[in-house]
Amino acid sequence: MSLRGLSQTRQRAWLATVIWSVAGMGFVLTFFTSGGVGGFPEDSGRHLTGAFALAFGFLGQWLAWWITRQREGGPLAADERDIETIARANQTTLVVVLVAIFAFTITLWTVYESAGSVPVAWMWFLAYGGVILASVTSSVATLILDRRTGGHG
Amino acid sequence: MAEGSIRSHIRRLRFENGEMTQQDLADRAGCTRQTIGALEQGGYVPSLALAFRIARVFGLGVEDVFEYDQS
Repeated sequence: MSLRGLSQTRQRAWLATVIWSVAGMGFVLTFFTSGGVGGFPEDSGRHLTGAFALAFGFLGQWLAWWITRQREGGPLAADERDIETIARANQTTLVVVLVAIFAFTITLWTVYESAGSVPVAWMWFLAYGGVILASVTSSVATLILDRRTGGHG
Repeated sequence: MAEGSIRSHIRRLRFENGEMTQQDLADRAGCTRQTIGALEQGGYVPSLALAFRIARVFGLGVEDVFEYDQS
């Protein structure tokens, strides 16, 4: 699929969806493979890989923003409809992330209530997972809302 | 409160103004080509400022370009 001809908002949302999905897959594989949750706190290699996945997401998104920037003398890249779409996508993201964090922490509480303590690796998962979930949700919501307001190009 | 919809006559007006392209109208009205497309399809309701700018490109009033349909 070509990104040429799409609006800046759609281009950025598509690129961010792909970039953060790749980062998310890397993050999940890092966390759940080779030792699982129990061995995670002592495994600095996996900490580094997880940090790399997050850095890949942020650097990739920054690069995507730079590539799709407003060109001097070119047509207007974004307007009031894009601002409104992004604002609504951010509202959606806020709700999704709040619900996800609530569900995740309550699940941890339920599972580990009788043990009296939670494996610390889940805190790492929550921190990194929250960033990736917010990024993916924001870009996907932007694509959906942009299409709903007639943005097909 | 009853919610209506906004219908635009942009497509017809572009045709009547020498087949003005969406990009040309967008450039002159200060918005993106995609927003003009969205307005023509009725998927987006413009701000008052944008509605005025589009109407001015055609040399018309806002109500000649946009129509409020309360049904």
